[in-house]
Amino acid sequence: MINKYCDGHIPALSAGRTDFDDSLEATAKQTVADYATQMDNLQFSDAMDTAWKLVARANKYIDETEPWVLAKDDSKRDQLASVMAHLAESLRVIAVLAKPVLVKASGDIFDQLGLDQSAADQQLPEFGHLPADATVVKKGQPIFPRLDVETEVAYIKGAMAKSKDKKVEGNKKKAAVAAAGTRKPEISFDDFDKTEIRVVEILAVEPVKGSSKLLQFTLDAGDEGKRTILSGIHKYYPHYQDLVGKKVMAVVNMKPRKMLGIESQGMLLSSEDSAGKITLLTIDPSVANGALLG
Amino acid sequence: MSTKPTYYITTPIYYPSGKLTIGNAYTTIVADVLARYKRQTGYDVFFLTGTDEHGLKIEQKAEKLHQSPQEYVDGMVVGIKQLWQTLHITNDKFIRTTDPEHVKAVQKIVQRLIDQGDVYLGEYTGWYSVEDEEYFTETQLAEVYRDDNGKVIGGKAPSGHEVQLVKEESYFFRMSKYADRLLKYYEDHPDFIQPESRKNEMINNFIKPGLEDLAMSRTSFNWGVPVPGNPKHVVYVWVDALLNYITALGYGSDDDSLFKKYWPANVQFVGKEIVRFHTIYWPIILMALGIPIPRKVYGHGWLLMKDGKMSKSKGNAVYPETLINRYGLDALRYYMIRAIPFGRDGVFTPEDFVDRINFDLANDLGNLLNRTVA
Repeated sequence: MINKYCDGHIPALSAGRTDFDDSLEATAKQTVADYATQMDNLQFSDAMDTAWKLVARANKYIDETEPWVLAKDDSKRDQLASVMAHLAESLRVIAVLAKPVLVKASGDIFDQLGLDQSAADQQLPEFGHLPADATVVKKGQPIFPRLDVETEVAYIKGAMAKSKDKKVEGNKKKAAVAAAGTRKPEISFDDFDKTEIRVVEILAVEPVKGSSKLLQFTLDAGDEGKRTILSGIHKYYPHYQDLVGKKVMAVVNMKPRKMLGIESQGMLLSSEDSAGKITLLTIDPSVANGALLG
Repeated sequence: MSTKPTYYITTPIYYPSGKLTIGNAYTTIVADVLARYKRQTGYDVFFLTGTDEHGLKIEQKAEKLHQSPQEYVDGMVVGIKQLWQTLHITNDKFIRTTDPEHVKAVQKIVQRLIDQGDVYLGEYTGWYSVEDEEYFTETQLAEVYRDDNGKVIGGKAPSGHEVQLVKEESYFFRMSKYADRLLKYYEDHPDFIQPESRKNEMINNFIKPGLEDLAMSRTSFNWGVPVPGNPKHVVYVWVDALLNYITALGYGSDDDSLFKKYWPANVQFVGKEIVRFHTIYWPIILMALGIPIPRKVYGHGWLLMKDGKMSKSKGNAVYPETLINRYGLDALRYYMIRAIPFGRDGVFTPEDFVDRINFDLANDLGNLLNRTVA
């Protein structure tokens, strides 16, 4: 309106008087006082509510004064000037109040009103100190773009979903599998009977050179000689020496497999829980080495 | 020429682990708004923030990543400092508990407390939550595990984290000696703890039941400030951290001019979950040192999501950078200040955030400016 009606020059506050000016000025004064009290009491959200009361009041003032009607009547020129000045001054006061929060927009308001920024670095703003001879920018830019609600809500929700911990997702999947029960096809007794699972005693445990996961178990399977089985469970047994003397279960008729140059003669049985933690299945020491499971 | 009145504002020092969410950034934004307001209205402001870098949890995290603890925290601090820049935080100083000046000052202070008899060597038996870096007596545990004989073998802290039994030699701070003085301080300074409800929590949950001496050193890990004269002990991370508010001003160093100028603090902002440390241990330590107590500790609420606290595992974490990149810094700062009733918990929803921008900023304010200028 200042460009349209005043050729961009902000009139002085004293240029005229409308019936609504007193009320606006009173609101502005009350706003600043309440804002100061609230900020001093650390009531930050209340202080912002208060500042926005002046924003609402200024918007209402436009509806009350109907500057577009005043503009049509030459005899009402000074009233129109008063309205323009009062709006600019309201915005100046609001910009100062909002400055601690809206670090950029506050400056934008000053710039668009053609006001000197340093005027904001005073004590609390006082309504009525509008600098003289200010010229507003020829074309204002919106200081806050209007947002499309659907698009933006979706955007934020999408960002939240992306923040989800991937590791947690993986564990949830594992837990789902464990909880689901059987995942493998049904078998007959003969299928099961093909595996030979025996009780074995751990005689020695050593880490495998070149591997952070593998432990080399030397076992007594109750038959002749000793058996070597490799198991990738070092991570879960940092104190693997504690396993010496324990009895565990091993599949003893699995095809031997060479890993890092060592032949693994079978597989130790262990359980894996939903968090991925692996535990060797141990057997009561009273059970004889070589006892067959079935 | 008259000197401006001083105003010292602090945020808690942040524990450097992972990316900060808007919930974490809340305190610092609030403190920044107050700092700017105070400067604008003629105060000589000192605004402090920083990081809390010692403790077992960090030692463990660094080990998992095959880094030294110092390397680990150095990396984390870069991200935190960057975030404060992005949020245009105008802190006057950034303190790190690994700063040599802080470490030296803490040692000097601890030595003094030992010499005075406020700190003594004893044995601690109790429950410790590594995640919270906090001690609990059995009665303070949220859940207690017992064996078949009824003996307590473990439990959970109020936060839900597991606790472990700690039985070790430890230095203790004679909190019990100061309990009455503390209660009198609360009485004489009704505004010290805000909101007021938190004061009653402190009195009823911690002080009235009997203030126990605080175990303030650990021997089972290294990453901390060594106790002078007995370096197998490191200072309890909370005592180390609390002292930042005065060491940052040079207390305990050769130049304490800032301390003389700005202490006592005018406002210390903390989240409500750490009010206890700041309104019980902290004032008592200051009493023992013979220095004034801060004028106000403000325990604000949490920024929550619809489904509770923000967490990566829930998939409901919102990062400041995400919102700033799309909507600008002002929109975020405005929302944090206006939409969360300061002192109480607030809930962030994308809908509410977008509405606030549209109604309050774009429409009410933006339109007012646009119409006026056109």
